[in-house]
Amino acid sequence: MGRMLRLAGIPAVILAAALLAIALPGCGPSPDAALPPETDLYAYSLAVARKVGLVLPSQSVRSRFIEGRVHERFGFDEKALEIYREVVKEESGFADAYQRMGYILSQKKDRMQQAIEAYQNVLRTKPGSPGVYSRLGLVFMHLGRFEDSHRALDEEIRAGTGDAETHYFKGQVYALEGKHADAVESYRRTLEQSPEHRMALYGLAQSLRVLGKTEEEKTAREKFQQVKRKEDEATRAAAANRKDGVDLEKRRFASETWLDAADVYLTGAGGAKDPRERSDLLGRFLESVEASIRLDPLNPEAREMLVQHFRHVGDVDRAVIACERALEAIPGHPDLGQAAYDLAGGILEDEKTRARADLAYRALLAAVASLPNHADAHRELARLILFKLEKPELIAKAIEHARKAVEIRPEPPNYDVFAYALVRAGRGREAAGVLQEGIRQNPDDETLKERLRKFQESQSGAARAGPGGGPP
Amino acid sequence: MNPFRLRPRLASAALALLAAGCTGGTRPPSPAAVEASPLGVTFIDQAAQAGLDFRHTDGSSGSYFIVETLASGVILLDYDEDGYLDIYFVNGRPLPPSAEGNARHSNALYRNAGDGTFRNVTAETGVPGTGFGSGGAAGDYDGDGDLDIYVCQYGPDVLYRNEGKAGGYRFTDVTALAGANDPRFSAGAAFFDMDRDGDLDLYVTNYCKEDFQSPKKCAQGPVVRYCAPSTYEPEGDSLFLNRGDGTFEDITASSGISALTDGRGMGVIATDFDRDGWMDLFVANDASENFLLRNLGNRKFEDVGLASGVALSANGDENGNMGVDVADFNRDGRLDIFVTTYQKQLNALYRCEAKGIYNDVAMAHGLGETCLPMVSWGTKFFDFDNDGWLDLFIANGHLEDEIEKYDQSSTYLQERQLFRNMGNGMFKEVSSQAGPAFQARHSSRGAAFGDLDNDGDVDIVVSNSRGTPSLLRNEGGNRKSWILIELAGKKNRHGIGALVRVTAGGVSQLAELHAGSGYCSMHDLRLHFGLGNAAAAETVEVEWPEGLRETFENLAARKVHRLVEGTGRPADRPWF
Repeated sequence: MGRMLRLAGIPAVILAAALLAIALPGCGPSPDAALPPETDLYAYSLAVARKVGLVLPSQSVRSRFIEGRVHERFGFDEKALEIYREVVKEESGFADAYQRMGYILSQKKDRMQQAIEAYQNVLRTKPGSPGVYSRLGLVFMHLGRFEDSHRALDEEIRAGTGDAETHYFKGQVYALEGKHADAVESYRRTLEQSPEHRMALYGLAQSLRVLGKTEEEKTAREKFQQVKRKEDEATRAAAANRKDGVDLEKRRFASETWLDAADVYLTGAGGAKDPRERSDLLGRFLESVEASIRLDPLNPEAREMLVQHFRHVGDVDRAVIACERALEAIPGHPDLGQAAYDLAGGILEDEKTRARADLAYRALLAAVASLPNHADAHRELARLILFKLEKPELIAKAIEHARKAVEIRPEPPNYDVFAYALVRAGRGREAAGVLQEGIRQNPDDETLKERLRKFQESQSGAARAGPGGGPP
Repeated sequence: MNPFRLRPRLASAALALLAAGCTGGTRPPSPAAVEASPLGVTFIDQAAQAGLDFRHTDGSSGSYFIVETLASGVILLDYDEDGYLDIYFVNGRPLPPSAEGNARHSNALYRNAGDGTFRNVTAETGVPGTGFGSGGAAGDYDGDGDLDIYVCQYGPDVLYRNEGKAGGYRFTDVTALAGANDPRFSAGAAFFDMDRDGDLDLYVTNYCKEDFQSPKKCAQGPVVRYCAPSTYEPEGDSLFLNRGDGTFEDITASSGISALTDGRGMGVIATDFDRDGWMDLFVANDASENFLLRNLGNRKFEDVGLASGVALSANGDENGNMGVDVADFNRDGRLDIFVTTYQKQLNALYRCEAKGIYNDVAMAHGLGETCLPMVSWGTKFFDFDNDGWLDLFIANGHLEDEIEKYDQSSTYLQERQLFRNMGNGMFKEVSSQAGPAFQARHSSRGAAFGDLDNDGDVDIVVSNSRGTPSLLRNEGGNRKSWILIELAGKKNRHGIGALVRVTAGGVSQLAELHAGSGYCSMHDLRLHFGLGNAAAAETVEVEWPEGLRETFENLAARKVHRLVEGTGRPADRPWF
């Protein structure tokens, strides 16, 4: 063979090197090669994407898809489309690639039909994919095909995956058809799910105006202006941040690329049989999430991913720390607040972690700070203090949170906890008053009546009984 | 609406209008669809053959001053009253502004020879401009019958007074004398009669503040680009009241206009949107809410844009609004508003649902997805094939000359677009069938519309940034019947602001006369109506700006009719 290759004119040295490269694994690009500098976040992100395929060759198609996402995020639509096409050629059931194709094509002149085909391919490969019918509905709307738009949006709603956007699009279609009463209904459904949906507020005001409902229109318009002002201020603040030269948008793109990579590593870790491989992939997952957060500290998805991961692996200490850091970075974020609340619940429900009431306490504090109107979080925080922490110095806090729960939702469980907190503080008379108020608000509830009866008995010398039915 | 503001004879009409506004007017029955036959009309770019050798500069030098992006609009006017439309191209200048740079380039006035050619008469008429020009308008501000020119510039604007026949149709720079000079970064202008006294007042839009000493620097990776308009502080607009003696008074503050500080004004159009007899204004603002300035009748205005539904897009977003036109595109008797916008934004078609109530219905009328990749500027509703339905033209072109290096969803040079009205207010893009002029790609800005060869169909002049202009001659549009209405008012000599309704073959069409519209541009002051197969217009009703309503009857088609105020039959019934 060497003779044949010599005859072909290939120098021996090169031949040997080539054979070595083929023979020895890892002689190609190393998965741990240094990434390009962050001064060129486009090249950097591409390298992050390609690294996934090097670490996990079995996920090379996914890695290519992530590469396509990088091109798309950085504005190179045609390159992205080219890669997505390669992906679906390689793996015909890759629904995500079809979905991205659909999105890109739906923004292009004269390519809407291709967008429709791409979305239909998503539904073919992954029936019931949430959001796809809504995107189809939007494309049909842009084309003026309103009946088709309604059909698609109704399909989304029927499947139970309709969200605020789905109802908003329906509202828009109705408005375009001149059916403003129906538009109002749809916009209202949007606002039920997303009370500060700016576009729905605007649409609602518009349709109410056409219907001649002046007072309602004024209310909707004022709310719209309020929400818009808030968003404009946030935009101005973000623009001000850019003055120091940091391109936040590109950092966000790079952050999202790391998150895409993290997703693949986590999935890989879950499927790894070799514990060393599993450990390596988990390490890469954590590295990816942390890189994502470093590049975009305001990326809630990355932070939530971290919290959920630690919770999943039972490392509740780190889960709570991640939660606290997340809410410190992004105060008031509803998803993170909910994650904190769920974390606290998980800690208390799991017998392995139940004893860590201190951690649950911290998680609930973070939850109420982020979601000040979350009645359940306030109530559970009060209950935790009263029944788990046994710290007299926190009773006043328990009262405060229990009161808040009642103010937000005047329901029997909240009155119950509030009253008990007052009893623990030696404020029995007030506790009775709270129970009476609770009964007035909820006349059909027997629990509070029973509680009050027992309390009154105890006051008149009977054995003191704590609120029955509650956990110790 | 306060009927006591109006003269008594209009009170009943006003009440009828009010009723119509409240009930929604009379919607036409669904017409038969326009036959889907070949277009039958071709637009051919004959700028070179016509002698339009003007070359536009936007002053760009790699510094990416935002001033560069606006240039420029174009004005059609018959300056020498010979019955043929002439063309005034506004030009940019080198930046930062300097006396030497200003002198190195010039605006250009081309006289229509009437034989398909034009001659540059800038020097002999004296209208070179004095600075970086964005746009302008023409109007007979001094009431002597000929058209004067207001040029919007970065820095002081300029008002050229036409000396008329006696003065050899030369122009004199009377800016200082007249007192209508906005010294800021002006973009567009509109002449209109604000106070119904017969003379033309002037509204000037201003864009933003630009600091040439410390220019903003923006980039997309290694590619330098213009900074977004939202990063520039907006400039307020100006309103000049014509005193009737050849001078203007700046009433920006007293009129309430100076309180509107958030608009980066571009295109402007004067229109009586609420049909109360007082001319209002619509201002297209870039990256800010549009203004709909309601004339309160006492030389004061209030912005009702948000309340009317025209300030924002259908999604409630502040679009990059550029050009504007007002017309009754669906023949329901109400004037609608079309606004061109930036890339990845739908152009807005604000359909009038009732008096003062608009809804952006672009997607419902075929103007959705085809416009998304475009940056759109000059525009107009016009009947290119004379079938009686208003079609739509849009001039496109990006301002980012290296956009393809970082955003493949758009391009710097873009095609124009022509949308045919299919006969019920629905539009269908027919650009690919309208001739090679619609395949050519430019970075266009202003577009002006008029019958340049007086053959009965509408031609288009387009100003292309950093290039030569386009003269899109309409070939075949005059196969069907047409009529051109030229108004001759008593005081408002060209009838600026008049409403005209032409009825032919049982079909009525409504149009309003504007002096300044589109993108910082100005169209033929003769109103063109396509009449389909009708041999005559049975009636032409005119509501003059100062209130007189009269009817002219049995006007032959395929002719230009000059309607003189006071010579028609007084109208004895309300219009709506």
